[in-house]
Amino acid sequence: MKKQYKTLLWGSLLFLMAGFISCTEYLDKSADSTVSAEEAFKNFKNFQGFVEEIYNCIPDKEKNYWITSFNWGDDEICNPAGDWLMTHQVDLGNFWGWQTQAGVWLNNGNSDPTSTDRMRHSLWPHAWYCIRKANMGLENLDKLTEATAEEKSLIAGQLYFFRAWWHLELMEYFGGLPYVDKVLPSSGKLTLPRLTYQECADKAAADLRKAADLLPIDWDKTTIGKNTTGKNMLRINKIMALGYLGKNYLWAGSPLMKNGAQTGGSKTYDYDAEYCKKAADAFGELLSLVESNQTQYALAQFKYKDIYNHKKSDDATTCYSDIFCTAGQNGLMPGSTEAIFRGPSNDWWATRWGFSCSYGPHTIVDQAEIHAPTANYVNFYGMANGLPLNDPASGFDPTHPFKNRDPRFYHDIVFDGFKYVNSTMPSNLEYLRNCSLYTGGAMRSVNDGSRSGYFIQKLIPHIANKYDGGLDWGGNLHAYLPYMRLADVYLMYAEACAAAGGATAKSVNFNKTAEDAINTLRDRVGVAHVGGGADGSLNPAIKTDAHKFMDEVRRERAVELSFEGFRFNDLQRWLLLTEYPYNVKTSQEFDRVGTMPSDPKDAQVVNFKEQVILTRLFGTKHYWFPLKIKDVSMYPEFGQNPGW
Amino acid sequence: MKNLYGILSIGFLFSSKKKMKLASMLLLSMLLWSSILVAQNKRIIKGRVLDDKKEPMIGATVVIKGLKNTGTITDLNGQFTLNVPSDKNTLVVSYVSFRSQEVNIAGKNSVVVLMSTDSHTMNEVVVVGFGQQKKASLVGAIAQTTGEVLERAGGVSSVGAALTGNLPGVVTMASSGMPGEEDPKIIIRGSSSWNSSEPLILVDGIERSMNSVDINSVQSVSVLKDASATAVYGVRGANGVILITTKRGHDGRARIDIGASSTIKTASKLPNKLDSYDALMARNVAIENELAITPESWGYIKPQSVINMYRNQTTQEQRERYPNVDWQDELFKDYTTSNNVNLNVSGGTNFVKYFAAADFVHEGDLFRVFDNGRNYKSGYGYNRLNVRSNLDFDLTKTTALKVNIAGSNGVKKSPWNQTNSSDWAVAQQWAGAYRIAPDVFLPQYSDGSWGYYPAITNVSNSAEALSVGGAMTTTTTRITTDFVLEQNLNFLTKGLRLRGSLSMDNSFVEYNRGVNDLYHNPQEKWVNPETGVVTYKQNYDANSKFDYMQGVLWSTSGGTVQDWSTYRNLNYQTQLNWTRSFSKNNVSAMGVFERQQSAYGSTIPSYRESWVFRTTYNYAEKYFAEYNGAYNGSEKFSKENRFAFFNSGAIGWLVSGEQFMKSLRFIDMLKLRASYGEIGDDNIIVNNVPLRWMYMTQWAYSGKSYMDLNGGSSPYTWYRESSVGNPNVHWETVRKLNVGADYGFLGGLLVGNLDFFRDNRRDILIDGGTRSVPAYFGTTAATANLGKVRTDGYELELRVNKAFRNGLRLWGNFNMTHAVNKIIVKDDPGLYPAYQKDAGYSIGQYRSYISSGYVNNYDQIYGSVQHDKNDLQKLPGDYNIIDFNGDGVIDYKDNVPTQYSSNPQNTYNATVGFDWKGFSAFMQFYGVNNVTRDVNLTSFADKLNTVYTQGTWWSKDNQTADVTVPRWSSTPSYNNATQYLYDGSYIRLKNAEIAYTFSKGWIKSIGLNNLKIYLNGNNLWVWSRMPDDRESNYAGYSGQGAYPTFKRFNLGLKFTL
Repeated sequence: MKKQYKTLLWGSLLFLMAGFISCTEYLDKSADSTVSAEEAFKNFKNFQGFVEEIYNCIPDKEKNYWITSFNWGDDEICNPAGDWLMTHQVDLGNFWGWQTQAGVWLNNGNSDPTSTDRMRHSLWPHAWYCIRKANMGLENLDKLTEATAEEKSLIAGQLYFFRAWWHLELMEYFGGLPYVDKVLPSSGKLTLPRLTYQECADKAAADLRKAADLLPIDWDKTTIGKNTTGKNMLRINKIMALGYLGKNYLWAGSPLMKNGAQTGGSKTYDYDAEYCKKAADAFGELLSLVESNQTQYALAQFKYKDIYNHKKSDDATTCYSDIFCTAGQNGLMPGSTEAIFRGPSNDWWATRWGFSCSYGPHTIVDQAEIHAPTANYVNFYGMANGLPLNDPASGFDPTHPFKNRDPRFYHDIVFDGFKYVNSTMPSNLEYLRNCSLYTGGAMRSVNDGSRSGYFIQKLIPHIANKYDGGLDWGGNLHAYLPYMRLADVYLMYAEACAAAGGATAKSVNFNKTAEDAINTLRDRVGVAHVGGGADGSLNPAIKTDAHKFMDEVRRERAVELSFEGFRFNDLQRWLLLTEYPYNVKTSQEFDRVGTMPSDPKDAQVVNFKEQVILTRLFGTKHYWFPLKIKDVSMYPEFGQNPGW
Repeated sequence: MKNLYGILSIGFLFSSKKKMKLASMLLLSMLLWSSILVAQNKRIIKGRVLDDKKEPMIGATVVIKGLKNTGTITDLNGQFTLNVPSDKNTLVVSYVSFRSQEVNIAGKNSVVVLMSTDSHTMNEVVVVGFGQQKKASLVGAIAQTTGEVLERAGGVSSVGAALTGNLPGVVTMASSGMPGEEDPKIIIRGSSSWNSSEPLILVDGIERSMNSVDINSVQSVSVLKDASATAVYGVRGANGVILITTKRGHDGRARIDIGASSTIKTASKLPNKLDSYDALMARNVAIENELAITPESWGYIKPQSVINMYRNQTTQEQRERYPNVDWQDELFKDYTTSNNVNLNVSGGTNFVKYFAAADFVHEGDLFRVFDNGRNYKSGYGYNRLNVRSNLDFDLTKTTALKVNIAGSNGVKKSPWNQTNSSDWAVAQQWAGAYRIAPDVFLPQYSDGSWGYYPAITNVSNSAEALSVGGAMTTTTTRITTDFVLEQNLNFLTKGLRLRGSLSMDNSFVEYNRGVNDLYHNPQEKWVNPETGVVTYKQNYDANSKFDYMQGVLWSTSGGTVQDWSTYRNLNYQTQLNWTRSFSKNNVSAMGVFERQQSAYGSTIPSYRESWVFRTTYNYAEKYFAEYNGAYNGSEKFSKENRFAFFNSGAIGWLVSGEQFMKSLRFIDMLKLRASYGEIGDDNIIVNNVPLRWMYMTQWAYSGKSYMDLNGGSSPYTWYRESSVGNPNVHWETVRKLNVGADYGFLGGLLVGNLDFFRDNRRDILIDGGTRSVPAYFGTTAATANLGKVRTDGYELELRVNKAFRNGLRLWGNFNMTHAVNKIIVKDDPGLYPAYQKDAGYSIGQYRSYISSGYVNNYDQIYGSVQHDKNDLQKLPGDYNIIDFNGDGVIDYKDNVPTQYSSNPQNTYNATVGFDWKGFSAFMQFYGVNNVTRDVNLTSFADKLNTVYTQGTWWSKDNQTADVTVPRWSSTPSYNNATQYLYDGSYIRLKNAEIAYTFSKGWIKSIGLNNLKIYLNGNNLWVWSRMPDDRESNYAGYSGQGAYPTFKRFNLGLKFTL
C-alpha cells in the first residue's frame, strides 16, 4: 500500500511540474519569425528594396478610383451626375472635399503602401510615410557597408529626392508645413511648427541639389543599373532631380508664395526674381543636357496623318498622343520619350475601370459621370498663326470658329461635327455618330452629354466608346498622367526667365531665351511663333510688353498642359484663382448653318457666343486647402490654413 | 523549452503520433492506479423518490454521503437502485429547486424519500470559474440559466440567440437573419472599452465558439459578471465570462430523449417603400418644392398621364414598359421553414456514465430564387449536425476520467465566392428589399432577360445578382476534445483533489465548393418608359456579331480550404482543489496552472499562461469571504510588463441566517454581498486583426514595385518597418465593484436579486491610428495605454412563483439591466472644445447636426444661420440647423453629441407562464431603450424613385410634418439633421409557448415515458420606431441593410423512452 501511494505521489508531483517549472521564453516571439531591421540596410539589393516601396506609393491620379477627378481649375466641368466629384466640390468652394469625397487622389482612408491596388494610394498619408522612410534610410546609410561608391550614391540620391518630392507635392496644396528631416520618435509629444512656404522650399532645394549631384542621368549606364537595363525609366535620376529643383524654385518665387493669399489679382505678375533665376538655372542645366543629346529624353513628335483619330504619320518615330495613352502597344506605359517623372502603372486594364469612360457622351461611353472641357478654357487654344483668339490680328472668324486653329485643338478637343464613332452602331443611335454639339444639339444634354459644347479626347482617344472597341480588352488602352514631362520643363523655364527678365531673358547655362523655349514647343506642333506669323511680327507687343509676354507664356502653358492636372495649382500660385475670368465656367453657344462639310473644322456657324454656366465664389482662404481638423487641433504651432 | 515538463506537456512537444501514444500511455497508467485500490463490501439499497404531491420524481440525484462520485438518478417511476458500501449509512437525495434530503439507511434495504420544494433554490449548484459552488455560498455576481430555458426559445438554432433575456446583465443584439449567421452580438453589463466588449465564452472550461454546442446538449449557462467571479480569468475576464456546461450521464438505465420540431419563418420587418405611382407623384411634389433654386428640375416632372400608366395596367407590354415592382414581394417568399431533430442518450453504470447526443438543424432560405435557365439553383441555406459524447469513467474509487468528444459540421449555402456578408457586392442580393426603386425595371422580363438600368451603374438587380450568382457551400467542421483526470488525494490530506486536463480543438473551413458562374453575363434589358425603346446591355455577341445568347458556361468547383480560418487550440491545465470543514468553519482553496496555444492558418501560434487561485471561507454558512486571483502572462507585452497579478475579494452575509431574523417569517432568505477587484485585458483588434507583440517594432520583407514600363516587377524586394512598437505598453485593467443582495420572501413567492456595479477601466489601449499623433509622424503610431472609462449600472431580478392547491402554478420572471458608460480620458486632440472630444461621452456616442424645427418661410431662411457650403440651396421646410457653438456659421463644429450610442442602456425582460397538470404556457417579452440606431435610407438617392414612408412631408400647410421634403436635384448641406438617427428602442414578444405533456396512461402503453407537444414562437411581435427589425448594424452598415431577420412559429414534440 505504502509503495503504491508513493508511486501516486510521484506521479502527481510530476504532473504538477508541468506548471510549476516554466520556461520564461514561453511567451516570447520566436526569433526565427522576426525580420531583422539590420538586414534591410546591409547591401544594395536589400537597401534598394527598402527604397523601392516608395515608388509603389506614388499615386496614380487617373486610375485612383472608379471615376477620378484631378482638374479643379477653370478647365473642366462635370455633368450633375458628377456632382460628388472633387471638380464640382471645388466649384462649390467645398475644399474640405479632399478629405471627404471619394476619388480624390490627395486622400484615401484606405491607403496602404504595400498595396498593388491602384485605388489604395493617395498623397496625404503616403507622403508622410515615404518621408519617414527616406529619413530612416538616410539615417542608416552608414550601415550600407557591402556596397560600391556608385551604389551608395544611387541610394542616397533617391532618398534625398523623395524626401523633397513628397514635401513639394504636399506644399502645392497646403502651403508651408514642417519639413521633416529626421525619423520622429515614437514616444513623447510631437510639436513641430509649420514653416513658411519658402523656408520649406529652401530645405527641399538643398535635398534636390544633393540628389542631382549624386544621381546619374541614366541608370542603364551605371554598373548596378545594368542588372535592370531597359527597365530603369521610372527610377530617379539627375534629370528628375533637376526638374523638381527648378519647379521648387519657380513655385517658391511665384506671386502667391511671395505675396501671400489675396484677391484682386494686382500681384499676379509680382514674382520673386531671385528664386526665378535659381529656377531658370536649374531648368537650364537640365535643358542643355537634353539638347546636347546627353539624356534619354526628347520631345515626342507631333506628326499625324489623321489627327482626329490620333493616327501618326508613317515617318514619325514617336507620338505626342503616346505621352498620355497608348493603344495597341501591349499595355506599354504611356510617356513616350517625354515623360520625366512617373510612378508605376502595371495594370493597363484598370484604365477601363477608372478612366477611359469618363470623357464622352453617356449613351456612347457608358458612364454617368462626364468630364467636359469648359468653353472658356477651350478658347485658350489660339490660332495656327500663334495668336490668341481675342487678338485683333489673329484672324479668328466667329462664323468659322474651328478653322485654322492651333493643331493641338484638333488633337485634344472634340467639337461640333466631329465623328465620334467610326464603327457600326445600332441604327437607332446613328444620330450620335457625328457630334451635334451646337446649342440644343443631341449631345448637349446637361445630364448625358456636354454642357459646354465640347468633349476632351487628349488623355483618352474618342475610340474609347462602346462601338470602336477602345473600352474592350482588345482596345488595349493604357492611360497614365506623367507628373512632369519635358514640355512642362520648357514652359517652366520660359516662365522663370520671363519673371526674372522678360521674353529675352535666359539662364546662365542654356542658350535659349524664354521666347525661344516657347517657340520650341510651337515648332513641334506647327504653330507660328510668339507674336504671330512666321517671324512673330503680327503683334510684336506680345514680345516686348513683359505682362503680355507672361500672359502668352501662361496661355501656352494652359494649352500644352491642358487637362493634365496642373491648371488649379497654376491659377493658385498666379493669384488668379479668385479672379474673373478664371472663376467662371462657360458653355459655347452657336447654331449650325447649312450642311456639315466633310471636315468639321470647316463648318459654318452663327451666333457664336459664350454663356456662363457657373461662377465660383472664392475668397482668399481658397488659395490653400484646409488641413485635417484633427491634425491642427493638437497644438497651436501646427495651425489651420487661414480662413478654414 | 529545455525544462522538464510533466507527463502531459512532454506529449505536446512531440508529433501528433507520439501525442496519441502518450495519451494512451496516460490512460493505461490511470487504469493501473485504479486497480491498486481494493474493492470493498457492498449492499444493494432500493428506493423511490416522490415530490410533495406524491408524484414520482424523475432524475433526482441520489448519492452516498461522503462518496461524491458514487450515486445514481431516479428513473421514470422515481425509483433507484444503488450499491452502497457496507460502512456507509447515509444517502443524499437532491433535485433542482427542491431541498436536499439526507436519508438514514442504517439497517434498511429500501426507502421512500419525500422531497419538498425549496423555492429559493439555496442548494442549487452554480458553475463558476474552474469549478462549482453552492448558490447559497456565492458571493460573486453570477447568473445562471439552464438548457431547458434555452430550449424554449422558439425554433432558433444558435445558443447566443436563445440567451436573449434569460440572463440579467447580458445584452444581445441581432443584425442579420442569414441562415448560419444569426449569432447576435453579446455584451455583458454594457461596454467599458472601445477595443472589444466581447465576453470570454468557454465551453466546458475551454475558449470555444458557441456554435460548437447545440442547445439540446447544454446543461447550464453561467454568466460571471463581477470581479470576484471573473478575476480567476485574469486578463481575459474583463468583459465578463459566459460558461457553457454540457450535459453529462448519470447512473441508471439508458434514458433516451428525442425531439423534433419544424419552424415556419417569415421576414420580421422591412422598410416600407411607395409603389411606382405614389413614388412618381411624390417625386413631382419634391421637384415642385425645389424649383425656386433648381429650375432645371422641371425637366424631370412626370405628367399625370404618364404616371397613370403605372396603375391599372392591362397588358404585358404596359407592365414591362411601366414597371411597378414590389421588390420585397419579388425577392422573398412568404415564408420558409427550418427543422430540427435531436437525440440524447444518457445513462451509466458504476464504471462509466455516458451522455451522447446528435442534433441536426436545417435553416431554410427566405429568398425566392428565380429560374436562371442554367440548371442550378442559387440561394442560401444552412445545415448543421452536432454530435457529442461525454464519458465519465470511475477508474477507481478516487480516480475519475472524463472524456468529451464533440464535433460540429455546419454547411452554409450561399451564392458563389461570398466570404463576408457585409461586402457591398453581397449586399446587392438584398438591396432590392431596401433600396431599388419600384419603377426602375422588372426583375425579369417575359423573354427571360433580366432588368438593368443603363443610366447608373450602381443599381443592381437583386433578383439577378442572387439567381445567377452561382452557388457554393461553406463547410465549417469543428472537433473539440477534452481529457480530464480527477484524482482524490484524501490520503495526503483530507479534502484534497487534483485535476488535470488536456483539450485539443481543431476547426476547418472549406468554401467555394459548388457552381462557379462568374462573368457569364445573361442578357439584360431596359425599356425606356418615355419612348418604349428597348435597350439591351449585350447588343450582340462580341465575337460573332450575331444576336447575343447567354451561354451556360458555369463550372463546378471542388472547394478550397480557407487556410486562414483553420484553427487549432491546445489547452492544458493542472488544478488542485482542497475543501474542508472544521466545525463551523468551511474552507476551500484552489490553484490552477494553465497554458494555451492557439493559431489560425499560418500565423505564428499565440501563447497564454496563467496561474490562478481561489480561497473561500465561511463561518456556519452565514459569513462568507472569498479571495481569488490570477497571475497572467501575455505575448503582447515586453518582458518587464508581461506578467501581471489580478485579484479580487468578496464578502457576504446571510442576514436571514441570524437568530434575530427568524422572527421575520416573511423573509425566507436575505443575503448581502460585496466584491471588489481588478481584472486585466490585452485584447485590441484593429481592422479585424488582433494586435500582437505590441512592444516590438516589427519589420517585413515582401512585395515588389512594378518598375518596368511593360508591367514587370523590379528584382528588389521591399524591406519595411511594418509596425512601430511601444516598449511601455502594458495591461488594460478594470476595477470592478459590485454590491448586491439576494432575497426570497413569502415562502418562495418572491425571489430574486439586486446588484449595483461600477467598472473603472484604466490604461485602456488605444491603437496608433486613433491616437492624437500628427500625420507627419509618418506611419501608424504605436499602441499606448491612454484611456479611461467608467461604467455604472444596476441589475434587478425578480422571480415570482405561486402554486395553487389544484395543481396550477403561476410563475413570472422579471429582470432589467441598466448600464451606462462614460469616457473619462481618451487621447483627444488637446485643442478640441469639450463637446468635440470623446471624453465626457459614452463609447460610440452618436453625433449629428441638430435642428430646432423647420424654417417655414423665406423670412425665416434669411434669418437663419448661414451654412458654410450650399447656403443658397436652403428652402422653406428645411430643418433649422442649430449653430451650436454660436460662431454665426453652420459647419463641422456644429456636429454635436446627441441621443445615445448603439448599445442600449436599459434592457428589460418579462416572462410569465403557468403550468397546470399537463399544460404549460409562457410568454417572454424583451425590450431595450436609451439606444440609437442610424438607418440612412434616403428617398430619391441617385435620382431613383425610391421613396420610403417616413411620415408626412413638410408643406406650407403642414408645418409640423414628420420629415422635410426630400430633394430631387438640389444639394443642401446638413439637412439630414437627426432624421436618420432612430430611437432604437423596441419591445418584442421574444418567445411564447403553449405545450402539453403526456406522462400517464396511453403514453406508457406505446412504450414512451412522456411526450411533450408544443407550439412556440420567436420574435412574434415587435414594436419599434425603426424602419426594419435589426437591433444593430454590424452585418451591413446602416443604409445597406442585411438579410432580413425572422419571426418564427415552431411546432415540435419531445419524448422520452
